[in-house]
This record gives sequence, structure tokens and C-alpha cells, in this order.
Amino acid sequence: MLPDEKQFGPIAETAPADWPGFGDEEQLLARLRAGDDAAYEALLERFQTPVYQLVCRLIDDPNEAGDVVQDVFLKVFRGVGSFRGQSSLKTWIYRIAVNEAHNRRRWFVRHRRPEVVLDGEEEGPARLERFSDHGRTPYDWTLNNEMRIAIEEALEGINPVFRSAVVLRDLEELSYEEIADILDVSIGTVKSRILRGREALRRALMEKLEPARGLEWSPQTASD
Amino acid sequence: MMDCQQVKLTLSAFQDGRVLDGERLAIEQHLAACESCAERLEQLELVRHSLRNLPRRPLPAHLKYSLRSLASREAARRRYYAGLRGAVRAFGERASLWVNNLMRPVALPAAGGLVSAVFLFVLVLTNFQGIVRQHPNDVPLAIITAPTVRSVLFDLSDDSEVTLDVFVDEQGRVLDFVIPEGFGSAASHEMRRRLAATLLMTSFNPATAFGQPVSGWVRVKFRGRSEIDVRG
Repeated sequence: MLPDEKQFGPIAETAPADWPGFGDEEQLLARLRAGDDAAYEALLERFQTPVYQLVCRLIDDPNEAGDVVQDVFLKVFRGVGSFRGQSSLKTWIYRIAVNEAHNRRRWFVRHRRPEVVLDGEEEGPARLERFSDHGRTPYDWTLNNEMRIAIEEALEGINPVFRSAVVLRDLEELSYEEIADILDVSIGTVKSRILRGREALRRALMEKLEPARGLEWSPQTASD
Repeated sequence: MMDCQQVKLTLSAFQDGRVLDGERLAIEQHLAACESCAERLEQLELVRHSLRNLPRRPLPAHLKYSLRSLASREAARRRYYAGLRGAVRAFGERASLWVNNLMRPVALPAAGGLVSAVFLFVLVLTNFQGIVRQHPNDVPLAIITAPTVRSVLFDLSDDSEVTLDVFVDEQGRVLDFVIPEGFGSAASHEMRRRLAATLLMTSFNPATAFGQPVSGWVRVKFRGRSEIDVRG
């Protein structure tokens, strides 16, 4: 029994999910490996929206999210044959999504920013902000309120390492165990990252909502 | 009783119910007494509430179609590769691709090299006249020959027959001789002296190896009156 399991009782949230029409996850995997169209359809139905939401929250440019999601599912479909079931299908797919989002984000930081700077116009983030259309679709306009903008901006501003943990916990509502499995870290590290992520969000949000308070700033590191 | 710093480090876990019962009671007691920490918890709750209420972005229709198309393609691909025949075919395709990828970069240099080699070979062949032997008594190359007797000035002057193994240096001089086993022996000092005198007056062609004179042994049979038999 894991130490955390001893302290907080059995881990109920990591139980395997049911798959209507396929029985359990093993049967779904067998059908996926056999190339059954219905199994692929069911997998997409279950995960396409959560994965898209997750990726949208993990990368700074939502316009890239579609490409990342396609890459994620391509890896899932290609890798399902070698998936050994050491973790649940859900955490495996989320892990691929988190890794892909981080890779895209790193690529973006390395390659896009110098191109923008060479133009000699606005600096990278400002120019990207001008060209990206997040928050400018009709859907977004209807939901454009102060709190949403504040929390989204605060989320984009925090360290990506902490952001992953907070997004998985507070938006995707995964358990600490699932997050540890997805991020491939210990539960203690998950706790620490969630704590620091929420604290960074709290400071950023309070600064935006109550600028007069001028809360103290402290640097963030991804050492744990 | 926990202090503010301890509570600050556990508030996040407290929110998620990831603290032990005793720890939870201590935090609750502290929060009841400390306005600052209670306010911090309130702000953290606001953060969590705001995050959970963030609008879900709808999946774009084009992405949905793309994913469906991708799924259909990958399912078909997996069916194609399923089974033994598919596996063999897949292996063949992969091997073919691997060979193509391996050979393609060297194809042009290799073809160029082959053409150049053929061209040079044809060029040399058309100018090749064959081996012309200029002198009939040339020493043939690439073989090893034994010393041979060139001339004999004296002989044994009787009808005796003597067989000797003679060591001839690269200049045709006799350096040593022995009577091989089974061919008798030099019975007297006089006999040895006559043999030495005869060999001294006999000139040899040296042995050759690949056209170069070298030293070597030769078996010579003297039969009186200059009938000489030589065995290499």
C-alpha cells in the first residue's frame, strides 16, 4: 500500500472506466489493436474534448491546440499496440497530451520569438498577442468578463511546470495519484507544484483585481 | 498550534482534503484565530472556483472531422497490418524502405564509380599488347629456379660416379658441398680433395627467386668424363 493510500484511504479515482459496448478497458484495447472503427470512434468520443481543453490550457497559443491534439491522437493510435496497461488509458493519453503541449511550447519559444524580433517591430509576446485571436471569437466575446480574463492571463503567466499540475487538478479534476502518474513525479512533488501554482495564481489574480494592494512578488522555479 | 508559515504550506492540500485528521483540526483552529490566513484561504478558494468555472472551449468542427478522418485512416492501417500476411507485407515494405533509404544517398557515387571503372578498363584493354618476350633466354619471372651447372673444366678422370649436394651462392660460387645419405661417402682425403678441385673449376648459374639470384642447394651427379646430371 502506498503511503498516501494509507493516510487518505483507498484511491477510488483511479478505477478503470467503463466503455459502453466494449466492456472494460482491456476489451477496448483489444478492439483498437484489431483496427475496429467503432473502438477508435469510442476513444475519440471519450477523450477528444478533454484533451483539447487540456492542451488549450497548457500552451499559450490556442490556435496551435488543434495541431497538438492531432499529434496526440496520432501518437495514441500508433502507440496503442505497444501500450502495456501499466497505467490507465486515461493517464496514458493525458501524459502524451502534456508532453506534446510542452514540446510545442518549447518549440514555439525557441523558434517563433527570434523570427518576430528580426522584424524589428513589436517584441514577441506583444506581436503574438496582436496576431492570435484567442478571446476574439464570437463564443469568447460572449463570455468575456473581467474574472475570466484575469484568471486566464494569470494562468498563462505562471511557470508551465506548475501550470500543468494546477490545470490537471483544478480544471481536469484528476486525483493526485493520476497527476503523479501523468507527470511522472512523486505525489509529494505534485502537492508542491499545486501549492506553488495556486499561490502564484492567487498573487497574480489579486494584483489584477486589486492593483492597489501591490502584493509582493517572488520568483518561481521548477526545481521540484 | 500551527503557525502561519506552516498553515501557508498546507492550505493547498487542506483545500483538496489531502491532510491528516489531526493536521486538519490544527489548521481549522488556526484559521479561526488568524484573519490573514483565513483571507488567504478565501483567495485560494476564489482561484480554484474561477479555474473550475472557466468556460470550456468548444471543439472546433474542422478538428473533429480531422480527428475522425485520422482515426479511420489509422484503423484501416492497423487492419492492413494485422495478421501474418500483413506482418510479412509490412516487414517487406519496411525492409524495402530501409534499403532504399540506405542506398539512395550512395547510388549516384556508386554508379559514377562503376562507369569510371569500366571506362578505365576499356581504355587499358585497348592499349594492352600482351607480354612480349624480347629474348628467348630471359629468366622467367615469378618462379623459383634451382642452381644449374654452367661449365665443368675438370672431371673426376675415372669412371666413378659421385652424387653431391652443392650449396651455391647468389653469384654462382660453391660455398659448401656434402655427400647425401645413401650415396656413399668420401672414402679418403684424396677423394675429397679431388671433389673440391672439380667443384672449384665448375661454374654454376645461381638459383633465382622471381628473377633475382639467390643462394641455394643443388644435387649434382658426376659420372666421370663430364657426364653431369643435375637435380634441383
